[in-house]
Amino acid sequence: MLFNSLQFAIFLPVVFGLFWLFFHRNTRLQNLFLLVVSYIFYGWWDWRFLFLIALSSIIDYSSGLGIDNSRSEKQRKAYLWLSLVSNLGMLGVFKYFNFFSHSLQDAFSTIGIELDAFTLDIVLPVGISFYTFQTLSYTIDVYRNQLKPTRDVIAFFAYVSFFPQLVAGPIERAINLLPQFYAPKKFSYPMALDGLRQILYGFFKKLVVADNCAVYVNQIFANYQEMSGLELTMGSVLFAFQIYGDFSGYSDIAIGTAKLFGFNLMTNFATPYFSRDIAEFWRRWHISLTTWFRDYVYIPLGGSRSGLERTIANTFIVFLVSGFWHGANWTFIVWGLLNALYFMPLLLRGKNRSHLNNIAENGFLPSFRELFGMVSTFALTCLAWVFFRAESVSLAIDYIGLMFGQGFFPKEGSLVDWNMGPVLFVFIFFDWLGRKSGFAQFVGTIRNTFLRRVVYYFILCMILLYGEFNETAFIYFQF
Amino acid sequence: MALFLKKSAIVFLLFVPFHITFIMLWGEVLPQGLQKNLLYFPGGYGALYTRLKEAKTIGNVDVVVLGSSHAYRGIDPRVFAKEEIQLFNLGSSAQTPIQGEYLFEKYGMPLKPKLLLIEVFPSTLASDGVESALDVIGNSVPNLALFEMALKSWNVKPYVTFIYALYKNNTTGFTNLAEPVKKQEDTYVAGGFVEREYQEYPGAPYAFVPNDIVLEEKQMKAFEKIIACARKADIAVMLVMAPVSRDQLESVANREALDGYFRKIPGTVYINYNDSLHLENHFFYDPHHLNQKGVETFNAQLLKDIKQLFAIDQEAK
Repeated sequence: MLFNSLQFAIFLPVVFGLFWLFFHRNTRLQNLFLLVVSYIFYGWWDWRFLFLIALSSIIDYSSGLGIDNSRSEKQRKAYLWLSLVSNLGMLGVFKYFNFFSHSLQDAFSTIGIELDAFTLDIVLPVGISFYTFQTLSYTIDVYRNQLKPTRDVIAFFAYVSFFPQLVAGPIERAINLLPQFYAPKKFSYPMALDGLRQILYGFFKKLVVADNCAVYVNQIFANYQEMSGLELTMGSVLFAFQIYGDFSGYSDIAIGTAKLFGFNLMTNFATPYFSRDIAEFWRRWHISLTTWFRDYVYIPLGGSRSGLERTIANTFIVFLVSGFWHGANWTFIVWGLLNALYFMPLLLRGKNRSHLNNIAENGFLPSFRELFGMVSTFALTCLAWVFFRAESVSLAIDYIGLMFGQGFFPKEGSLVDWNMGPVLFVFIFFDWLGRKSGFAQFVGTIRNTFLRRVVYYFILCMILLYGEFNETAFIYFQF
Repeated sequence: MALFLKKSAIVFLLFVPFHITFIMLWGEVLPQGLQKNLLYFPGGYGALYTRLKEAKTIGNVDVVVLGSSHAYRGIDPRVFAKEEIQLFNLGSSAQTPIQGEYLFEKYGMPLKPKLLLIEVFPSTLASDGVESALDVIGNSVPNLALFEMALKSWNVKPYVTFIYALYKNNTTGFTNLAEPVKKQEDTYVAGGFVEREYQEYPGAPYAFVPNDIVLEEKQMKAFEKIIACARKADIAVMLVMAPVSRDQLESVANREALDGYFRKIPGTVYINYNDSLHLENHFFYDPHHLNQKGVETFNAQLLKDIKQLFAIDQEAK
């Protein structure tokens, strides 16, 4: 069930109403209700997906208890490995099997050996990359003694399948989310209002920004060889806005929806395109994933504590694995590698933690230095996004080559359409206003009720008058 | 919770006048390029404005036609008039049954026809109807039935455009629009027909990829409602698939199954003129539409079939 669908528009108010009328006073009933509706939400795509998520939940619930009840370190490790192998195994089979098979075939082909690629004809379950990482974080935290395993099976299942964040994150840590299932919820008016505001802004980002940018991006990438340098540049810039609007819009809707039920999810995006360098960008983009890799891959590998060479290697590993997480295609690996290369100069100069505050912290406008940093970081990310969007590495290289090698100005019949300009300007302005705490929260601080409502109505009207309502899936659903 | 629901209701209610005002201002102030979901084009392509204006004054007719541009560019009232059969063409651009239902009830039924001729090109029953809804809204006086029609497409564009049309209709004298009879290559002919300047279709430079057409349930429901409405008023119903070029015809992979669907509709007669006429490309001006030579050839056969099946000419005499 997509958030931007009629089914969800009916599903959410019904679930909200039932939850607060009948189910919130008793913890067990509350969690059981959330579990059932989450399974309905997830099963709407394909009921067969439910078996996998149930299996993942059973394995990790049992592993958590197994780790806690173990008498030896060897036994504890065995349960941890059970969780790791089963979750990563599921991911490997459904997401990466065919990729490895084809890659092996290509590799042998370069040395003159022709192999028949053995592939599986299977559908990638929606959200598998997200919930497997979420459950893995549970067992790892239990293993590290950072979290007591739960004995409440319903709460655990509800935590894994919690519908607002199930299919595209934020990837919640058990330490944050699971305890929220242990107590009955009390309706909070400010929290629910905040949630509605965030949902509204999320839909603006998805329907007005992302889906409109997608129309141009698809045309430009499909016909890139006939485009001018300006159009190709526009394509990469619009894709940057498309993926940001799409993914952060989804996150906002997820977080806002969770708030309607009294749950707090982690922030997933913190205005990343206002970053002054690439290190800051990676602290602000898809925060739940980057912190996951930091805590469960980078730090266990030694992080930055084992010398410069080791730090560089660990950084490359994390970026490459992060790229690979996004999809079974060499384009994502190259995208990850490119970001690692961007990061290196900062790391080597010890400048990767230069910008820990917000841009224009003490004023409204950025300084020239900040502006320069922001624009150049944005340009670098746009270049990398070409690999993310392209269907193959060769196409991406071709695209970038034409961007700089083709005539810059379009000939007749150009696709350059400046009508997205005002929309993007409004979006950037909103995001700028929310650069410290999020735009939805910023609106909540406007004291004048009339002005606040005008802002809501303006956003709603923008959605009505400029939204793309073709029920386009969110980009990150494919991961 | 009660406070939350109460305040949400207030906010929602106050949004109603706000967004109506916003739509009016948006349409008046912003350039066309920024009016993405507000597509108000009175007197646009297809001469629907003139057609509907004429429908109110023409009086009773023998035959009313519904359908897409295959109808209003393919069925010429002058051919029928020679045999003293008065025909009025209520076709419109990309018309789907949802719009057909509205047009038939509002404009077709008052003409008290003896026969309803529905041109059935399958793509129109597979469409969401948004393009046609916008055409009808832009060329009609807003009313409740038109609003219901706008909502049936489940798309925001007809809704927003309707609100704007309501405002424009009450402020700028929409009813006095002067639509030219001749627009570029098209000439409006009394009776609802649009004649294109003679051209011949050279054929497609590449083969069309065959695809299955999947009919939309809401369109099928509206289609069956039109037929039921006509049958209830004792109006005979004929379903007609107008000739299209061979390229276009062969691009519909499941045309036999679609023919089967139309043939099985009770209380109607269905004829696919692609089976009986086999017109070559020089009878068309593009893959979809007949040129005047093609129209006359098609209409001659259609007229013959109508006289044989429904005896309309005898009633007219």
